Amino acid sequence: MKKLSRRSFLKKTAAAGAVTLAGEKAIRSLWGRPALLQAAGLSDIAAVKGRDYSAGTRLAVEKVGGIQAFVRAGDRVGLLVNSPFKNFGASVNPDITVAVIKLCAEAGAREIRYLKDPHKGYWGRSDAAAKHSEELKLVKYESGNRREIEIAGAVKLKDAKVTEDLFDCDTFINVSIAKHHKGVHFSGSLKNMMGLCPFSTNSYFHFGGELEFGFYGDVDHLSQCIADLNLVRKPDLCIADATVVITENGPYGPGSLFKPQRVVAATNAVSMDAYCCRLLGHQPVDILAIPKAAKHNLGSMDLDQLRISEVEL
Amino acid sequence: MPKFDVTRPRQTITAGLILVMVISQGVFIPAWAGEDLLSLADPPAGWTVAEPPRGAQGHELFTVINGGAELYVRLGFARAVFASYQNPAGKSINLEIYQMNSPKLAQEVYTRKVGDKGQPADFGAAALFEDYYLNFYKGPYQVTISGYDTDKQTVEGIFTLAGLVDRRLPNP
Repeated sequence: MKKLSRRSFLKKTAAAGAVTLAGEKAIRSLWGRPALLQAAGLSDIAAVKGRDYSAGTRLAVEKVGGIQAFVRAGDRVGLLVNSPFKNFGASVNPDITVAVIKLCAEAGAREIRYLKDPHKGYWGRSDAAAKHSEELKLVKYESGNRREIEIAGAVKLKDAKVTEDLFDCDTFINVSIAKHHKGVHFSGSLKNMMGLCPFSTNSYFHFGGELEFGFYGDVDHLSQCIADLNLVRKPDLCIADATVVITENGPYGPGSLFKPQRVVAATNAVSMDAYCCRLLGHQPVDILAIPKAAKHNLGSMDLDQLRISEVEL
Repeated sequence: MPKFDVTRPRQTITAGLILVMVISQGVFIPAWAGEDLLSLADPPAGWTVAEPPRGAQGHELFTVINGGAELYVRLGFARAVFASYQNPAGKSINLEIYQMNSPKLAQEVYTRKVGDKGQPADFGAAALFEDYYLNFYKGPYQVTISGYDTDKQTVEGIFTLAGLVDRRLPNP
């Protein structure tokens, strides 16, 4: 696999005559413009298939612009990793998380912090974590401080408590797993944002609706709250674990596994979920949080209008 | 204080009403003492405790397993215990024991949790093993044991633990 260095990338793009580049800002300006992305050899969404999840993560990030397009030297990086559930296929594979952390460190981040701490025992399942234990020790845990905020433009979730750390980081990376969810049928980048909130806020998502009482009684309300929560802050980069995932009994599992063996990178949560939900047999329009978040202008769910790169290691 | 006389109807009825009110307020329902449930979670031979057993009861279950609690709480859930184990080769298995409010509810939970694939196993009233996890129920208890792969050691650990828990659970 040929790696694309920064210098050769610039050379290649200048030769293509697409745009005059000025570093990371120029790369970001290409997103959502398939023709220009193609000329630059980049994508809005990159899915890398293969069993080396670390290499897959690196290549996926490279294809959406490279880590330097998202993390600048000296940045404080906040990582929201879906890692609270112990069951196989219910939390992000730790090898992917390690790869993201290493990429951030290589980009010169001065601080990397979990926006939600991984569950105890999370790292014990990863050989990559054992190899990079010293680097993992440098990652900070969530502070535990919360901020109560009003959400401008929200339809249902007018206010929420959110981890203070989200507002203290320069770069926010959303690392989710694309899996079954009993209530909303699919859980991905958009739903992962609920990890930023305490149970008291998340309870409103589940019990604040008007239909049948129950944790998943009002799916429309729950989906709208998920979309509204995503107004708080858009991730700078989204990574999704679509390697080995549960297809029933989500979000907690255990359940039957589906193995697309893909690591996916995208520049926004709406496009990410629109792509990943299809891997599990859904249409984006049927996962209510996706069109609701698209309506909030949080990204495009029209995959035909996006440049998507699918490669195999 | 006037002496209580059972031959006087008004006093008897009043005492009975007070007794009903006290019972309905849960005064006579013992607080959850999880030790008996936690003792079911001792590790099998060759495995050590990776995470100490942790209990939950009622709506507290939502804070432990998030939306996974919906099924149990909706049907009628009393309490649960969770534990994780590891062997010297680094294999891990997880144990979940849910005590429902009746054997019928434990069966209901079990039926909803198992898929349509898998192999029947000989634990409890019914058991099904699917790739890397096993479900069974016995009396009011529903048990789930899972690993992180389908390796022989993991599967053997799952079955060994299932046998231990099955023997420890009281017979209905």
